[in-house]
Amino acid sequence: MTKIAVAGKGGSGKTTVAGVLARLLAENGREVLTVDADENPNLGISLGLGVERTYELVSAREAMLPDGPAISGPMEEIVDRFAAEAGERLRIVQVRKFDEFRPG
Amino acid sequence: MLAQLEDKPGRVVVVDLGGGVMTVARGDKSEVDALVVVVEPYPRSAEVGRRLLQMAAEKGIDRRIVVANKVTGNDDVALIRDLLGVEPDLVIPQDTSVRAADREGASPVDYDGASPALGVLRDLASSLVDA
Repeated sequence: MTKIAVAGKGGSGKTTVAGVLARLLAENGREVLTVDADENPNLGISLGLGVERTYELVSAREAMLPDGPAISGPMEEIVDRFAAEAGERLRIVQVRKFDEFRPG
Repeated sequence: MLAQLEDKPGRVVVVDLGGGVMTVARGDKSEVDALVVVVEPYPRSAEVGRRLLQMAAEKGIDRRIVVANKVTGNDDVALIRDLLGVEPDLVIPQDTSVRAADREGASPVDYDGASPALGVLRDLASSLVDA
């Protein structure tokens, strides 16, 4: 497994780089999990999910409020539960609410 | 979180970190195999890039890739080189199709698969998983 992080100043184009990179890797036959950890979670748009679907992902994330029921279990199960399909061999998960989770 | 993922052979995890340096400051070496630092050719962006590279080095992240983005010419590359103190590993040219895709809420891959920016990113994708 290879874990690649993309960073930079806001507006530098890092989200576009991350999204395109993930798309190209998936098209080359890799199983790709993308993780959107940005305060402005637009990675789904760069992946090709479209604006509406991307904002739905954000809405789902916002629904997981800190005072809601705690979500616990192995991290892989948490990812499987909350990741959305973004194409063939390509998934996306919003993680900022994972700060509230308790991986077991 | 990333350190807790199962080590599935062949899988690639791509993380879009928050803007700035704090997300790298909080992480550690076990979390990532490579850090791609995207820098625009102007001082504030380069300063964030310089700090990201410094932090990654201190954390022992050996694979650090500098991507100069939205570059309009050799002067831009020279500016980034001077401000960062290292040569960019990849140079993505200013690409109108990427901007157009962004305006339309589309992926650059779907908007224009033959754009110059995508050509560079194909090289990056190959280098990251073949190394």
